[in-house]
Amino acid sequence: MKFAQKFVAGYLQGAHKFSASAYLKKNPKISSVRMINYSASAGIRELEAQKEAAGILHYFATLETSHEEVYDLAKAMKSLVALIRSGDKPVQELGKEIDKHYKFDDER
Amino acid sequence: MKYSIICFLVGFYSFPSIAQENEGSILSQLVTAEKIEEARETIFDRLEEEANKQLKKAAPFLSINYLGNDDDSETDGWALDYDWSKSVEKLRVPNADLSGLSPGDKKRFKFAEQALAAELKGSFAHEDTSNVNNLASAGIGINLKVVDSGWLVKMENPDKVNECVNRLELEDFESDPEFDAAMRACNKPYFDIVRNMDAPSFSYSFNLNYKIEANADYTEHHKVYGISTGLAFEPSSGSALQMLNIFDYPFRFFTRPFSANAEDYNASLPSVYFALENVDPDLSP
Repeated sequence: MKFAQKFVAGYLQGAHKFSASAYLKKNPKISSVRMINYSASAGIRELEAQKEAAGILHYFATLETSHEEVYDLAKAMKSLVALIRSGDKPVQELGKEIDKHYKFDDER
Repeated sequence: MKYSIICFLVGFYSFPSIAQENEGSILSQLVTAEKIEEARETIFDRLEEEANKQLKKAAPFLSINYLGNDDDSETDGWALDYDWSKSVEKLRVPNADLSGLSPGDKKRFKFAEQALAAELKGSFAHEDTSNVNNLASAGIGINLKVVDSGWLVKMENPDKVNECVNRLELEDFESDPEFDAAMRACNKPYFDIVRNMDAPSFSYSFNLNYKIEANADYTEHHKVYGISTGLAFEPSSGSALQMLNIFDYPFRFFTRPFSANAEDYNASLPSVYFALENVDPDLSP
């Protein structure tokens, strides 16, 4: 879990200039990362959340992070979109979701 | 003093009994009617609660509702509320397997979804029960979505990034900015790829829907046709398309030169969403 959180923190820092240490220490709401425009309409929030969720999965695909035996990219995409779109859960929920689908060094 | 208190108490307690003697029959009738009404409401509330508990298990899209109207000219009664929706989705995911490719080789990283959705919503009241929720709707829709993150590029040495991030521990750094700088350095090879990618990342959706809106028993209705589409678009940071974002000019040209890690600067174009619905009212008498 801890390793998944570090990777997501690193991605959000690079893509959205959100401090990795703030992610790991303070665990604020997802909406505070400003991945999408939360004051926009539901349709726009959905579109932007999809783009951002795909960005996170692109990062792990590029790093060739090994995935769990039961691996469903569609499910991972939907869960991440739901988390980003609502924005009301703590940001480390993104790391927890990633941890369900990928295998990190602390799980081997 | 003692006598006055006694007199007051006698007066206080004797007043209702005098009143009851004079108007006893009317008052007792009112009290009885009120109690019957209270009991009736309690029974109906309990019945509604129990029925909905059972329905939640068997048919969660249905619920029973007792409509108690405050206005005496309206009729109380039972209503059946329904709210059902179903969608069949097919999501095509990209093949993210990079094994067997040489560094620099690339493949598209694109999700595509097709969905067909149907919904039914309304409330049906028993006979002449006054139902404020006198609106029902039935509709179908087709939805297409594409989410494209550009190219998935085979890295020279992805393990280097993985090992670097794995090694980082917050406790090993004297300050948070130092940790953030080390994290940025670890992920630099990935973000260099993203920055130099000659493809934008975007998501768009297209939706067509048809709906009938009606009164509760569908004796009066009108048709609603709708189309909606949207686009969220982020050009790669080196792309000339970045210049289309005129709203970003003040930040791009004035604040960017003074910011740290300016090379990471990238801005999405404003997202747009367009929806058009046409109501075709049934004007027949």
